[in-house]
Amino acid sequence: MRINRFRRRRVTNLPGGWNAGFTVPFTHTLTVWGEGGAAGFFEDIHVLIVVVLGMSILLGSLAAAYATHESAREAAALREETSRILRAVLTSDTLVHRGERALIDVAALDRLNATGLALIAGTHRPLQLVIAERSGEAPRVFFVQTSPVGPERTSAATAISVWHSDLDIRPARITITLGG
Amino acid sequence: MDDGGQSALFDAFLFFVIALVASAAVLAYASLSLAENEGRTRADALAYAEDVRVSLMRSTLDDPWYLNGTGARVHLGQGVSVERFLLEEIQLLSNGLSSAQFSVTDSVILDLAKSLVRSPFRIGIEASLSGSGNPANLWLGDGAGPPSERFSAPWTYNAVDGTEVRIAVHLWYT
Repeated sequence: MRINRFRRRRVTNLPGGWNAGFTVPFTHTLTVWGEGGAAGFFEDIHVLIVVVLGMSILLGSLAAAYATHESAREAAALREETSRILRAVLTSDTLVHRGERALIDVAALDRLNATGLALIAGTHRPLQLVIAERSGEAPRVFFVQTSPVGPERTSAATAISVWHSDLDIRPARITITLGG
Repeated sequence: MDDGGQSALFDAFLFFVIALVASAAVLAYASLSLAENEGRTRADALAYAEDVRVSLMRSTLDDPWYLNGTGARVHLGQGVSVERFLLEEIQLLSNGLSSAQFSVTDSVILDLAKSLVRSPFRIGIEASLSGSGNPANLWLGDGAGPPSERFSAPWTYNAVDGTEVRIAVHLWYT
């Protein structure tokens, strides 16, 4: 069996017949090394195992860190996009009453459909809008979605007001859910 | 195994330990990058507190009322906003009325605020009057006041008579 292809250089041989750094004495080199070697390579295989194990752990950690970093970056980008859409809804001229930020006109909400929501949001991703009033005799919940939102999603929520009339302005929660 | 072989094995273990330490450092860095930026979280919470304050202050109440000095109900009618009511209340507290005389409407306002705020936040509303005239303070919320760790959205109103009213919405984590 040919395992070690190259002979040791003579300079590694020490007086007394030992090779520095290797497990095989020089006096036995000719029987275990080189062309006539008898698997002398396996004398150091336990060292090789430790080194390979260390390298594997290091490379595995690097791969895991890269994957984690990438997924975190994608999640952060999705969150940022959701916040942008929320801000777009709160300031949309087609929704707000008399240009007041986060004061949504109830008539505009009644008219809002999936196409209008996609136009305001400026995205082709699945999007869901929920506005839940928190006061009034019959608090209403408005729900519009462009398409069903899958399990990969992020949400952004805040507080707004829904204008019914100058005598009836209701606080509400708004939640935007964006599909990944 | 001779001394030379043990030396090689020692070197290998040394490399193994270094690889372990490097791996731990890489994984720690990755987990730290996952953690939310604290400054960003605080800025988001403060922005949310401001949104809650604006929404709450412009909400209208359904015929709010209070008891005047003689114990008679004073109905304010429809369309009175929370902001308008609190400004009136703090002025009247400064003039000698007690907060108990506003307790029913204050309770309605607090319930409204609590239903508006999303989990995991809790809310409290603080109003104070300073400047000329008697100082007055009002706290709507659980406990005697807001905790030290909170996210506040204050607004100050200056009156022509020199008084200054400050209304703040405080949010804090449950």
